[in-house]
Amino acid sequence: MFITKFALPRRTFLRGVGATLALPLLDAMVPALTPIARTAAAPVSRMGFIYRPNGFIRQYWTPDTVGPNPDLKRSLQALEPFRDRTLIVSGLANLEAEAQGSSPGPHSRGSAAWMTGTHAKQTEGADVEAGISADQVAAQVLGKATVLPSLELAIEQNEQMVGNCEAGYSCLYQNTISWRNPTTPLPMETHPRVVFQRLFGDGATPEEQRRHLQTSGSILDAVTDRIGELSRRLGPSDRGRLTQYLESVREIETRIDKAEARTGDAAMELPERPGDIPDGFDEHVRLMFDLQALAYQADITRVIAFQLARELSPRTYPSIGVAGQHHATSHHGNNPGRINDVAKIEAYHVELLAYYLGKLRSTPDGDGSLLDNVSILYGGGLGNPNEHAIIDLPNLVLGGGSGRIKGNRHISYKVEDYVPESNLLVTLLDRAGVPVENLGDSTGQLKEVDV
Amino acid sequence: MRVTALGVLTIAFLMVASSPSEGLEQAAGASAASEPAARAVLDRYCVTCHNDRLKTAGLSLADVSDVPGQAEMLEKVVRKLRAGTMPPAGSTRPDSAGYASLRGWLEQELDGAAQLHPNPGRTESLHRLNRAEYQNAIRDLLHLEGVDFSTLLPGDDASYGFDNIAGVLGMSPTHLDQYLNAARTVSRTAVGDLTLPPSGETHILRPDLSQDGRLDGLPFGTRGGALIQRYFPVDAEYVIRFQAFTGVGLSETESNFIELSIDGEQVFFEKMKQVPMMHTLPGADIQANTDWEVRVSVEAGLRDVSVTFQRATTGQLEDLLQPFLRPPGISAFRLTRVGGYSGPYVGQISFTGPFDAKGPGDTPSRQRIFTCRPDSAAGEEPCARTILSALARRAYRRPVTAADVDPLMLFYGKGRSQGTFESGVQVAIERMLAGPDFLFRLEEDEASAAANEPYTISDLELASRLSFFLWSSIPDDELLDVADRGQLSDPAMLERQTLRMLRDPKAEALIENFAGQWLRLRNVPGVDRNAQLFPDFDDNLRIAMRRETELLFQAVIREDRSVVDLLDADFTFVNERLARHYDISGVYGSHFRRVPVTDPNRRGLLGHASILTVTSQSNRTSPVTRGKWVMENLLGAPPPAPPANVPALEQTEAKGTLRQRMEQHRKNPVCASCHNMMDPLGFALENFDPLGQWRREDDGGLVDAAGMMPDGSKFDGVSGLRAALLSKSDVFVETVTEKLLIYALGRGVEYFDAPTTRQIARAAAQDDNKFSQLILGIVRSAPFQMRKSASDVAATVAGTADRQGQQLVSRASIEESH
Repeated sequence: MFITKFALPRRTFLRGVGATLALPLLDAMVPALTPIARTAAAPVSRMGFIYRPNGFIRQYWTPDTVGPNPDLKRSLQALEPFRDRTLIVSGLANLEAEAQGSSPGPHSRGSAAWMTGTHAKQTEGADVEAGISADQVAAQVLGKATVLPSLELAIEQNEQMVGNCEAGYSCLYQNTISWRNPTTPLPMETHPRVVFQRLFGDGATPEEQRRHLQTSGSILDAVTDRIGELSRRLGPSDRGRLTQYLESVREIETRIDKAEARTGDAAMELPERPGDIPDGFDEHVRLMFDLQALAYQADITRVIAFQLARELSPRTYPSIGVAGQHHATSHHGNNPGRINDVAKIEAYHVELLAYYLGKLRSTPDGDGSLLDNVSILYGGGLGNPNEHAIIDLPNLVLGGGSGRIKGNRHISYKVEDYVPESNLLVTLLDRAGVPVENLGDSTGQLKEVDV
Repeated sequence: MRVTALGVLTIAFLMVASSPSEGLEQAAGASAASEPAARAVLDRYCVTCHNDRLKTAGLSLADVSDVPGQAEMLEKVVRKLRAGTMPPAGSTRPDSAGYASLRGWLEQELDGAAQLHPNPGRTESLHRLNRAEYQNAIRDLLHLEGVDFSTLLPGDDASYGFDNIAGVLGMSPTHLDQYLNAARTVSRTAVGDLTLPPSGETHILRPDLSQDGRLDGLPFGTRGGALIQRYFPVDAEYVIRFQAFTGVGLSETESNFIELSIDGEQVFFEKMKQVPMMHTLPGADIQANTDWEVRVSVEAGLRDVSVTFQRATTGQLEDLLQPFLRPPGISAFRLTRVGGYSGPYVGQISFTGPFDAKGPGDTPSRQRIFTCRPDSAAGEEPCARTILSALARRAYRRPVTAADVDPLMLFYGKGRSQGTFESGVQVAIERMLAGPDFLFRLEEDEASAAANEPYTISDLELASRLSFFLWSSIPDDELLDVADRGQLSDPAMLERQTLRMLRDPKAEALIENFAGQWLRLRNVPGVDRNAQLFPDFDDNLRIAMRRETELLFQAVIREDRSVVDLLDADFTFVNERLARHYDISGVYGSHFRRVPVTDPNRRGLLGHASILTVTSQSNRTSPVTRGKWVMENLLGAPPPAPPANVPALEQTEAKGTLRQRMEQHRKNPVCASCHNMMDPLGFALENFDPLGQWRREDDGGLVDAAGMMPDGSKFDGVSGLRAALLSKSDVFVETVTEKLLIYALGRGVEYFDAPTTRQIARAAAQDDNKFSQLILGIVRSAPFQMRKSASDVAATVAGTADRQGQQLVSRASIEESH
């Protein structure tokens, strides 16, 4: 909705088989794309956060050696071609995901704590609460330069997960990993076409788009007045929802201002618009990864959170020979067959990640490639799935972080030291140009991450 | 127990007036539930663990003298007694008379206390429309159907099992962004904006949809394909593109003809090229070998578009066992055997347009919006005002004043100045749909209410509650009129409106949204089964199993049947595909029809493939999941969450049947406390495989379907389980009532709602537990008609003069009292 520059050719056909990604004009467009000068000396940092659920199998994941040139075990094999851009971090803890007196809800709390380092409040009501998530912290800074401060994507659809949540915890805690502030979770988009539309608009001419922006701006002005009126009629304890509304209005108004300020945008040859949600996990994920690479490339956003699957995911993976459901199988009970199955799922997810890394690497950006200038955290909020452990989490840092992250290494923290995973979040934020005092339960930065 | 004389009379009256359910009958027979009898049960069976010293599970039942003060705790006790989950199996338990006397006395006391001090609870002041409600609201407000809102609005989060819970229907920039887009798209589509840019969508047919027979909705004499109801916004040309795939193996010499029809009229018909494809490897990539694009003139409106093959022969297609196991490029893994031919099938259908728009057409939405037409420039504004006033009243669900319409007219003016009269109206509608008055249901404390006091909500607020409950949509004109005149709260009128609304087709929203979530029917489309174990599983079965349960629920509503019929119906609804699944012979064709259920194992929901499938894994049954489902949804006693550290099961690979392997659950006492209740319920259903088909054997032996209720009563198989549940049918009715109450109020139910649930269930029992009586009970209840005011009423910032007056009064009275 905010993009004024992209005009969809009037007779674009819709192909349901995925967006093609030829963008031949992009290099020529670089000057027009963004107000911030991009030179080789000041590459633009991007951040990504990719969540995969239901714990992990250590024996197939964590390298035996610590330090440079780690051995890539079976689950991480697919990262071999990207070794130099892979930093394996093991042994971190997600302490705020502990029950701490609430009733058990490890999946909900693990999910909520992964990017926030905070303890999710046990509730199904209006008082849902966690903490601001790392991607939203990044969005506040990195998002200043882009029209979309951030993008939140997912694969599994909430509607088909009825009853698949933990007692006492709203399904909300699993549906999203992204929190704008402690009480405002952000919905995650699953439909590729909607994502495409958010990135590239709905095909109207630039003049039309500008008119849309103006109308929306006027509507928001009017809505603000109305919210004020309603707010005066309600008691303080009832104003929460209106406050959220008002904050949202302000945010959208900012985006509209940014979008209207863009001038002289050249028309761009767009990829074909995706059709329906593909019937197949593999295709759906690849398509979403394509769109993410595109979003970075066109500098529509620099922060993306992506939930590959949500906690308690019941998905089966018949294409790799896993007939059981992911969550059920992850409670492997030390059965070697089930352990093997879970590890196969993890390896498959990492294959898909490798596809994405390949896309990023083959996309030129500044002096190098997108992969050089991005830092992506790939991991999950639970460790040993059999015990719903919240220590020894799987975490991978992918990308070059604009030269500030050194790959081809395995850094390991002692589990008994309970080093918070949020320390890694704070570190990555800092390296991406988003210095922050602390986030959630962080106690400092992990200097081992440095080059 | 301290009871006033009035209290005694009230309680006595309650006892006489209520129709005792079976459980309480014995209590009534034992000359009213009495405290000494209840105390005796407590002392003998409960206090051994739940005493002041041990405080098992943090609970002591040594002193229950202050029932109102201990209501929260005691309601939990009642819930467990109701389901029989306490005392735990293995301990000494009271007989049914003992249960009845304790439960009866507790409920009597709790109900009495609630009678004296009703607590209707407090709903959120602002309750955002969820996606389904938004969609229905647009349908009813603008008479616009066929717009796919799953691509316009984000999905909603659920709590307490439903996605219409106000507390978690939040607002974020993402939401607002999409609401703005949706408002624009909807208003432009409804008005028939000729400047709508071409857009479109693709419908992908699921690869496991069997296409060798006629599919529902398509004409006789056709095979496969799809029927899509698509909304064409304006009179224009549209490009429809569709692809067909040939199956693997040698093609037949038989010709295939594909046709595209719009509203039953054929617009394209062609003989497919025969492109034989030979494959030796399963899972090889298949390309569409025929791909058509048809540009066609379509008039605006909701149209049926079908792409299908003409059935050239009624003979069986030559194929090996499973014809629908096609290897599309997408799910190629499904191919389990090499070779074999399956007829061509339609893969995708795409729409793009509008192109070369000719006119806005004559659509229901245009008729709805343009109730007047300006005949001159001078007539434009008044006409716009008329239109917008009428729409705003419905959209905002209340009478509108100049304060509401003037801002809309401003937007009309903006749009008019940049376009036409119609575009002016369009922009005003856009504004209407993006504002809080449309997006939120507002419930305001009564001006004169003190803090924390129950008050009766206004008629208009009641109208919204009623329509969102029964229709998941805005009130219609009749309901709004009645509420506007202040007549809705009149009991006779309220009943009349409620029954009218239940009979209206819009009440199907209860099936889609209430049953769809309570019975987890929404999960059916996402179900996948292991292709090796269940080669017969196709999308036709998914669709059919869901439809069966929906139709049973619909029958209960439409025929105003007892809700207990859901458990025990001697009929169901099947089509040929489902009948084949259930081994019912003599049913042909794709449409659903009512059939008697002669097999006692199939009666009711417990015999429905839908329930049995969504509670299974893809390759095996899950007695735990099924047991938990029964406890949550039929017994109203959800098991507690698993402990924080689920102990690892033993390392050794357990042998034997599923039941035997699951014995491990019961060995560890930490696990046993819950699994002793869940597992035996699930085991009773073990004769139903992961698709709900009957099996006598599993794991190399006969299925052992012996089961047990949480209260220890044993039975065998699903029929035994059903009989046990029916013997506690009051519990089932209360559970359904509770679920309906959550859904109706848009908040979770708390301990103080339990008396309401009981009261509704008791009243319904007097009328055979008819569905309408449950609905009426809810509508008449205090939580539905009343609301507790905020606890910080005095701190409200002064708004209107009225409120200011109140403020001054209360402050004055505070000063006076000092």
